[in-house]
Amino acid sequence: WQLPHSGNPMTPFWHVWLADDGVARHIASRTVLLKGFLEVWGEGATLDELVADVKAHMPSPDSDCFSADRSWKILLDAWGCALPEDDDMLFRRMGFLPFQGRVSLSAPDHQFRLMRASTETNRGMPHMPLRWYFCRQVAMSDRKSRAKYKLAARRYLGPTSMDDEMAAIMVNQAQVQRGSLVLDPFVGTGSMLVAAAAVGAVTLGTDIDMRVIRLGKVDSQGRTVDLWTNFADYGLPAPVGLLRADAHLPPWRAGLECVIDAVVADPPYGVRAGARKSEWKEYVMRPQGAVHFPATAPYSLAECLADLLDSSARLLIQGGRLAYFLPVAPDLYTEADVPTHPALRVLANSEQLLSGPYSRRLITMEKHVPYCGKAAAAHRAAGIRPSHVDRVAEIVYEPRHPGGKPVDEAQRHRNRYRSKKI
Amino acid sequence: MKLLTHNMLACHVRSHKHEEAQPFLIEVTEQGEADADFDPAFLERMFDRIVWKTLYDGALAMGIKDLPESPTKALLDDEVFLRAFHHALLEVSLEEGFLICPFADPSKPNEKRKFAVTKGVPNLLLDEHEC
Repeated sequence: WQLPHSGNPMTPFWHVWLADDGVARHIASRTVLLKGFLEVWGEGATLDELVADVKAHMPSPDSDCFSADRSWKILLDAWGCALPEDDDMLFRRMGFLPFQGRVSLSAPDHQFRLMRASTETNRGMPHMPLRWYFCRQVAMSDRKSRAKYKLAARRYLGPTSMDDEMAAIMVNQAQVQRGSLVLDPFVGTGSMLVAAAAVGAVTLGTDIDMRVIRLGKVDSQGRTVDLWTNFADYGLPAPVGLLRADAHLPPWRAGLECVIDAVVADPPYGVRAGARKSEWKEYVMRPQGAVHFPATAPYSLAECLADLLDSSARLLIQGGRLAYFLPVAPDLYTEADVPTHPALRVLANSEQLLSGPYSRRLITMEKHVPYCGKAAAAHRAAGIRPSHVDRVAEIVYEPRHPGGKPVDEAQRHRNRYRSKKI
Repeated sequence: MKLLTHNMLACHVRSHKHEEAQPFLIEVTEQGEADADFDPAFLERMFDRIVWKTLYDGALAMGIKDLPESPTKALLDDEVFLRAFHHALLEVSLEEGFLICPFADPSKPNEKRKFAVTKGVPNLLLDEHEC
């Protein structure tokens, strides 16, 4: 990896070295956050510099791109700014390129981009000095085939169903592959398992709420829609198990270890979905055959996360990953608020702003050492470190200061980019 | 619920004193079958992660008799075995019935704790006094 020319890590063009085009195509087929891979033939602060750079670095004239059998196209692209009006002038400047094949605008064999990138007129964007790039397009992210998973078109949803793109990001962060066994311990309406199944995983989910996973809903045409119909609608294999179970007292057999390839989880923050767990109460005689709904107790987020980390640490294979969301109040958050576990280490921590006082962080952890019961018990006994994480619900619904200045949201975001350390 | 899932479960009622991890017995009221992608690499990985006896007994309860009782790793090269393994692990599913804890309270030897399975979803939530 190499930082872009401006040295600012918040700009969109990062340089990376890959073994070959095939690697780029493979990553592009899965990536959500990347727009694509472009092979840079030249760059410069002015058009003259760009042309000189391309002449110095472009492949030899007998390369496949220039072959008479290959069609080509140059796309003029402006990033964060406008192009100079004279398109013809730009094409003429690139006229030295020894193309022998014909131009195809609809389906070229090789596509090139002549890009002008700058944020001079863009409010709130990180500062980037003007730069010209000329690139061969290697592989672009496959946004079309992902579009079918959009939540708007899904028949069974709940109030906290994970956005389909975010679910795909989590699945990528957890390095889910074809044939991975993936667990979601708070499966809800199955949004994250859909994303996992879409890349070929075998999926498994648990939830304490029976209504969500078994009853489903009746849609506008009177048909029952539930988790199973979601998978069927997409032509994806259904989960191998959906269990009504308590993440606090999970039903795994003793000694079940190193069986799950990835855990993807969106634990109940206590904001839009209350968190519950089972709790011991004394035995009460009930009439034979009476239906009993076990009472549940409030489940603090801190305790829920401690359980999630411990279960994952036990169930994951060596090198397996856990990807989950941690709700935070950005004004109070410090790195010490991220839960720890002796068998897991944090690989990534990225913030998604939700609203003014409330954001959430996608945490990626890896099981880097075998699970040791003693170490885990000692870690748990040391107590759950108090943090604002348990009060997130209160903080989110706190009334804004009456009579205060209205916050300019764009200004707030701009400051965040400028001052934030990566 | 497929047998792969059943393989990972055990009764967790606190007062049940199990000598060792004992899987649930399966009582089938209704079972289903659906095709699943045949992936030998996946089967090979799962072979090491599951308890074979649990799969074997569970398969018998679901009416599958063509699994060997004690397979060796060498069998993973045998397509006939792989197909039977695949079918039992991933294609049959328990839709309605019970998962039964084998533990028997000495004072009530005929009463077993049963966890109901409805629409393919087992309810493994414990009553308050069992936590």
